[in-house]
Amino acid sequence: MGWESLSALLGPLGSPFLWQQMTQALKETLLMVSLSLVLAELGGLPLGVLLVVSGPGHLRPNPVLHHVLGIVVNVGRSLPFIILMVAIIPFTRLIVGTSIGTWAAIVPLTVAAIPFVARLVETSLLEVDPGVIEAAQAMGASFSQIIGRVLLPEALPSLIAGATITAINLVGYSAMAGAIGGGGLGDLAIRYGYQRFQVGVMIVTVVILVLFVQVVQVVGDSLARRVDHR
Amino acid sequence: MAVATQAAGILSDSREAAPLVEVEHLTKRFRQGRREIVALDDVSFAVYPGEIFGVMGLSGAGKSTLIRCINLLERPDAGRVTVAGQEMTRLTGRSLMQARRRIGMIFQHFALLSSRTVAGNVAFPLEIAGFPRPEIRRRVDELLELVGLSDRAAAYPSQLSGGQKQRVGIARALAPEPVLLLSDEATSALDPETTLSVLRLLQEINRRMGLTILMITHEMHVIREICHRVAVIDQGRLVEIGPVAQVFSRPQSEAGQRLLRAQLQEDVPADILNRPRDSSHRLFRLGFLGEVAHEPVVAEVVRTLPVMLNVLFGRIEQLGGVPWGRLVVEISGTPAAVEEARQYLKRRGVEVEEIRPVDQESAAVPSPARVEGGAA
Repeated sequence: MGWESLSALLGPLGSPFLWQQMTQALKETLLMVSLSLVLAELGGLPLGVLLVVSGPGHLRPNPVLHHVLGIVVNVGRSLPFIILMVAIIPFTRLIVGTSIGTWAAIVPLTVAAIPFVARLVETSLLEVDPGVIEAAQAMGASFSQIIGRVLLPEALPSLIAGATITAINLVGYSAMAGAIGGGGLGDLAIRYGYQRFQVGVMIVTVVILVLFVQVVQVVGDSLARRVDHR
Repeated sequence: MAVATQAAGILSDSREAAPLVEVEHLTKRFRQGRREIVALDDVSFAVYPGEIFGVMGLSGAGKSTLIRCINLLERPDAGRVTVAGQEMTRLTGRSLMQARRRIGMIFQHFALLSSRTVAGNVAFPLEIAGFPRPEIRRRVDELLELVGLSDRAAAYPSQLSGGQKQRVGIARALAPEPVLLLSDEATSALDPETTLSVLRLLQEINRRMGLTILMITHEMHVIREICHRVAVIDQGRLVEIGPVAQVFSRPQSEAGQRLLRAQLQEDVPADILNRPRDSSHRLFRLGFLGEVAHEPVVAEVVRTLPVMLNVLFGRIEQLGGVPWGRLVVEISGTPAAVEEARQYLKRRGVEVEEIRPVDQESAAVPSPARVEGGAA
């Protein structure tokens, strides 16, 4: 590769317009990932708790509820994100009033992440020593006290690790949000880097995404470590 | 309860006080696939205020189910459990929660919250019972002082040794000032030395606060060390109950004898138990409980009968507060004289049990030399 082609490749990077676009895209990605992460945790956490406590031999065994929840979660997880995004457009419109744009992308991102979070939460809570739960029961703790003061605090390091994985997955999903005009770094990479053959844009976007994921992982790990006294 | 009254009650089963724990016709079955397992079969007994009551049995005998039925962690299929006048088996929901707060429990694997500090763990039962904060702080300080862990208040359980963890467990169990302490194999995960210090702590708590303790264990020495009375459970059935000294020195049930024999084998070197014998060289285990321990019975035998008496093993220990001497002796002479010596010892109130050869399997295991097992 000669100098000429290299400068052609990196040429567009000199344009202030593109950098403006990139800053904008980064903001959009941040918004999509953080908001849908929070919403997905809000939805997935109770769902995961229900999955666990309704399981056999746990606090409130309920085979019917346990199975129905399991099926719902599995269906939610088996739909490819791009299909789900399109399929729930009427729902999205109902919630945010439009099916296009960053805000509209947050709805399918959240819907897709909830069952994912639920399963991760389930796994985390099942790791809690049953002996500790039993000890709390023996001390006269109520159902809600056991969940709030035993299950969740004991599983906290693992729950944080799970949220980190969810956040990183959401970065990947959010790249597809371009399909409904959601914007974000992934969308920028496709429109400029792929459709306009601006390989330089592609590389820079990918580098930013890699750094982004790295930061999320490092922050998540250190948070999890800080609360882990096991 | 004063130590003196405890000691007086040791050799008699009759108590004047009303029982603190009453277990009546307790039955519990488990389904395992298609098979039904009877974990508890019509078990009845009573625990009196201020005593340390032990339940002993091999693993799988049903002791665990039994202790879990006391605070209804396991709901029995039939029978009644009453603690401090309250019929536990009738309670559900909130009233059961309230009743459980009066019963402390300690566990084999400690069951401490890893997310909380030592102080946080001790505070836990007080928090869930809604104690005010200043009171919680005061109680926690007191209890950590009691179990000797004041300096580790801010440590997490993972930073503690097993013995320290169990001390935290004990402090936590005592926090809401329970009327009864349940101990579920609390020392089984600890080394012998730590076990002893935890047992001493429980004993001190029992003496100082008069707290009634109900403990289950498969370790005979734990019962021997601190219990006043003991029940033996075998295949879900209570087969024997009585003062520790009585049950240990002359077990009536087959299971009790089996447990004792296992203990004897642990105590006495195998090569002694495997000495060759015939009708003119017989091996006996002699037990001297209380009074008879002070009389020179063995000397009398040798002086009055034409036999040789060789002491192979000897030990004196405390059984529920009563001195208990044990000897393993070989008596040799004519078959008639040996038999007469046996009868004589029996007449003098010595527990006499002939030691039969150990079966080939266990005999094949070489035993390490033991300090206390010297032959005379």
